[in-house]
Amino acid sequence: MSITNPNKNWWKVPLGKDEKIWSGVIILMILMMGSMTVGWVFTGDQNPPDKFTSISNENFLSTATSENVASKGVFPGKLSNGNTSLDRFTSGDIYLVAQRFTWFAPSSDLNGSTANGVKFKVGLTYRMHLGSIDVLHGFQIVGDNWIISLQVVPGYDYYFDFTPTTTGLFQIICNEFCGIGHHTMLGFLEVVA
Amino acid sequence: MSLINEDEFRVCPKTNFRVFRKAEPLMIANAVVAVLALAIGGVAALIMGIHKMPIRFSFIDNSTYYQVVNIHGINMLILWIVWFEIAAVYFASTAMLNSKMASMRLGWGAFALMLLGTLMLEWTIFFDHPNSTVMFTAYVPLKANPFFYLGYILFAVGVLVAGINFFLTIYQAQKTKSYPHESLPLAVYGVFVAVVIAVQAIINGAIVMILAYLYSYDIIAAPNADFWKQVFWGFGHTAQYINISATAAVWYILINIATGAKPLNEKYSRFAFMGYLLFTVPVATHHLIVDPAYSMPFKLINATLIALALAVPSLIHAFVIPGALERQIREKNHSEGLFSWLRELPWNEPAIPAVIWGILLFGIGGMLGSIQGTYQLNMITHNTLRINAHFHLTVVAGTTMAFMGLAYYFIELIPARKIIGGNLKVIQLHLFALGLAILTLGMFIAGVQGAPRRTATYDYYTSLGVNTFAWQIGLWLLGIGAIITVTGGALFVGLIVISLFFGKKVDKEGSFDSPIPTNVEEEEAHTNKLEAPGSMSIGFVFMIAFIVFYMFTFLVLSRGWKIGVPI
Ligand code: HEM
Ligand SMILES: [Cu+2]
Ligand SMILES: [Cu+2]
Repeated sequence: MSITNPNKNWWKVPLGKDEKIWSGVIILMILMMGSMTVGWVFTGDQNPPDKFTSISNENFLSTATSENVASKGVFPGKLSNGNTSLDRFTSGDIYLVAQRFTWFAPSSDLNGSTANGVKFKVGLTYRMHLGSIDVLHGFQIVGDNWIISLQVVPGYDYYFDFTPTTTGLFQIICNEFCGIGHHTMLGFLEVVA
Repeated sequence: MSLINEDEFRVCPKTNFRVFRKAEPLMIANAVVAVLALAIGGVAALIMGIHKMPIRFSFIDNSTYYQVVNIHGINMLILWIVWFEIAAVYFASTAMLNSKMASMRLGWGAFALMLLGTLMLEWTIFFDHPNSTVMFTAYVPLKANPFFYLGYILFAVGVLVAGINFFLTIYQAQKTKSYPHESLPLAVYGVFVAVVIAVQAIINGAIVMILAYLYSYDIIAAPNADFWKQVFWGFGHTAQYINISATAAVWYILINIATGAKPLNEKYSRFAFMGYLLFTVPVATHHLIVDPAYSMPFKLINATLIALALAVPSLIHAFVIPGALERQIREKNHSEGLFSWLRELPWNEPAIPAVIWGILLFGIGGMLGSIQGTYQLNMITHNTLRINAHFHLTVVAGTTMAFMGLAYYFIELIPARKIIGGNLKVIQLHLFALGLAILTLGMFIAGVQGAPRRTATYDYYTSLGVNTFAWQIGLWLLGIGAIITVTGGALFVGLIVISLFFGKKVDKEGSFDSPIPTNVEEEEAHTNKLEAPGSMSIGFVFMIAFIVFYMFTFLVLSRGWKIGVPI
């Protein structure tokens, strides 16, 4: 019984037919999941980024500001919703910074205005650098059919290569609680043909 | 059993267990605090549910929403669950082993520490908004009032003291042979595993909370955010395996009380409990799959592959428990049909809806968990509302409902009061389960489309086809589900509190002549037939559904942009 002592030689009782079949089912399921996830690492097109450098918040901001400049193929522009953006129409790096409660792409070329959007060309491969200069934030692109969710952590430059394959204006939101203005933390990403 | 001093014990007239009288007020006190926390968390739940519905009809502004989430998370996940577990831990180690408590002083000392910690937490989260609104996860560099962290620390130390008292009590029961036989009863063994896991969890929790405490006084600089987060989940997720071990133990108790069912195979069930112990440590990493701090092999192996092994024990319990019920009913009633045993279960006992609903919904919650814990799939699920769907199915439908079921028996056994309202207690459980099904479906529907968790409103996301009709269906279901679930929860709190104070007193004093309950040794009948064909068929359907669901989620993932380089 479960609430009193068990049978004397309980450890000698062999597994019954039910338990054996069920164990087989469990093992199959684990194998299925394990091979799916390991297989996807080697063959799939969507894998969580795992490249980063440790960097202080000040250094991240200054690196981002100096790297996002016109000479490297980035120039100030406008998104279709009228917001200021940094446009990058060749492959390469782009920096996005999270700070309560905005997403922005800093650049020394912006003449004092803030870009809270970036614009890309479809099909090119970019290297996006994400970083926070205060608390944890969550980088999430919301689309109709799919989402990407990545954690943005102070003290790290989290970078990854990605290739936008659909055009349109996408909303960047913050999905990690970062303070009471968290729901107002927005940015934009536009992909053009 | 001459060791038992007849003044210090009473005999429970229903079960014949010897109950240590001095431990009773302590158990009741722990359970009462637990139910109070549940009540506070429930009010918060209702407010959140209504605020989330897509109509302009809310009691609170967006800033207060975060405070309410904080109050809900801490009161439910930390306070309600842990306080009740401590009551259950004492129950298992004294009443179920006919034993004295090793030290009443430690028992009340733990109570005092936990209560002090609880009050500090409540005080800061209620009266120090927004400063202490950092959620139960409290990720640094967010910085709360120092008393918030101190509350956490005192609470944890109290739990540790209670755990030590538990181990001493088990040791003493073994030494004085207060229960017949050497192996612990299965349910006590499950609780034992839970407490061992708790020790690991508390050590991790103490490290991060002490760091945060020092940081909140600016004695040290902000600790590395991802290091802190990793160790936090060494507490936070490890704690969920305390919960599931305790839940499974309670499930075994409940089916045994209601029908006399034994596990299909003692060894199998014990192995399952052991599994929780072996694999818990690395799973904390699954909270950092989409964080920068680790490389692919580390994340893949710890967060996903080892964590897969943790599904094994739960899958075993989730089959064995309905299987045991099935075998028992078949033997008693000679039921032949594949599912007729389900109908023949004693549905008027609260144990049955608590277990059957619990396992069914817990199973779905486990599927969602396995999906979001998968390395790649985490990228499309992390921090969305579907995470909330997952853990409301596990820690609410599973753990909370099991505890509710147990509470009804506890009140009749320990304070010995009849639960008022006749069958209302059974209706309460059905209502709660139904509400949860709707609530979590709503969370899932909104979350799949990208609705983030811990977010007061989605009104600002106006840029694109988001926050449309399809999101709103999910949010409506969430709100309606919340209203039903909280109604069910309020009914529970009402029934328990009223019964405790005003319920009819039932006979407390049995006779010391009646023997201590012990196992009736039975030959295992060896048949070549399946013992639980009905549960097995349901299990198969579950597994096939899971595989389809899993593959489908990968299909959704594959439609996204190319990200991360394949190696
Ligand atoms: C009584 C019915 C309940 C309802 C209607 C309910 C509803 C909700 C809702 C709507 C949220 C989402 C908050 C957000 O992220 O925006 C939430 C969060 C949460 N709930 Fe519940 N809940 C209930 C019971 C419980 C219980 C019994 C537990 C624990 C055992 C629990 C644990 C949690 C936790 C840990 C969170 C996350 C808090 C955070 O993100 O910090 N809930 N609940
Ligand atoms: Cu943010
Ligand atoms: Cu945020």
